[in-house]
Amino acid sequence: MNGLSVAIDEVAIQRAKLGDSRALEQLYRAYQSSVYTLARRICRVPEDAEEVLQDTFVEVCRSIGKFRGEGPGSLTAWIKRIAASKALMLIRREKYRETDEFNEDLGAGSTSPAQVGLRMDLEAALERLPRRSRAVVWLHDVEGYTHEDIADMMGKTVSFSKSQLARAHARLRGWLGEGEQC
Amino acid sequence: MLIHCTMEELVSIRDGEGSAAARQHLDACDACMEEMERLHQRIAHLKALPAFEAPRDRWPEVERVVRGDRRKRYARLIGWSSLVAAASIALLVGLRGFSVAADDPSKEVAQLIEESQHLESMLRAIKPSSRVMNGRMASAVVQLEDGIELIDETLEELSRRRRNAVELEQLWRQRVQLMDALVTTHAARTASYVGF
Ligand SMILES: [Zn+2]
Repeated sequence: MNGLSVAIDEVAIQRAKLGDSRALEQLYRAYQSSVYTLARRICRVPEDAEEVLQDTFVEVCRSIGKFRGEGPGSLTAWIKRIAASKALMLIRREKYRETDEFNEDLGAGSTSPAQVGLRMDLEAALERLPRRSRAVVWLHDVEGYTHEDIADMMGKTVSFSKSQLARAHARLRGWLGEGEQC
Repeated sequence: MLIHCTMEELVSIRDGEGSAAARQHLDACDACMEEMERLHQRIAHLKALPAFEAPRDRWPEVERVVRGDRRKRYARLIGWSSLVAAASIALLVGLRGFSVAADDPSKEVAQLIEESQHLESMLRAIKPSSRVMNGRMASAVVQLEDGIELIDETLEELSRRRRNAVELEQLWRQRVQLMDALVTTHAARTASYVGF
């Protein structure tokens, strides 16, 4: 998980809850990189990730007064959950569905002849995953969400989340090939 | 022993789940063990991918949207919905401090609030947003509106703290002044508009 670049203390959280704009900006500065990274990994498209970043913090500013958790840890979880939901909402859009079809056509799932001798790196392989597999693998393996959390955020079942994760790994395994262990 | 673990099984086992049969197989099979090791490594590599930095600072935009919210809230709060569109900059119009000499500040405040409401209703009657404005006039209006918003924000903050009657009166007095200037500006514009 990405660490915070700016420390947030309890006082700053309390001030932000009162709507203090400087404290809210401090939250933005502290969390923007991890929120943007999460959004970028799920959405892939930089412009969309920026949209998620903005929408996340608009919501943080609007609802932090209702945030009941205590300490920076629960604040991180709260902010990231908002970001993840926004990113998942965004990838429901039409253009993402089209990219999925394109990726399926490329022969996702196993190593196609076109890829023999072409070793993809992890970044490229991750980007090439269909949107929902990519989201699940990132949220589960990197951000540490459970399948229950993911299913809840995606409006899907737990078994959907599990099978997407397995499919994602099967694909990554195929694309990365033997070079994966280096 | 011939059937190796599927990726689904490996992923489940890693999550502390998975069937007993699959676990048993994994323990006894070098190939599956190696596959499991790959899975662990892949996840470690995913976690180690570098963070991204947003290419642009989105805070100003976030702030603008949130300020817009607040403006709407204030507009509802004070029943003044026609002037909610300006950006917030420093207050430039004569906010002079007032020496308060009233004997009964709360009565004074009530009077000022009433005056302020009266000016608002005048403003509504002019319907400022429905008419065309020239550039200089528009910027004067924005400054006045920002001044009023600044006061409203301070008033709201004041209402959360212990009330300070003198400060309250000063703020309401300034608000009335600004409202008055706003009404005058709009009235002048309406007159020139009609006369044109
Ligand atoms: Zn095996």
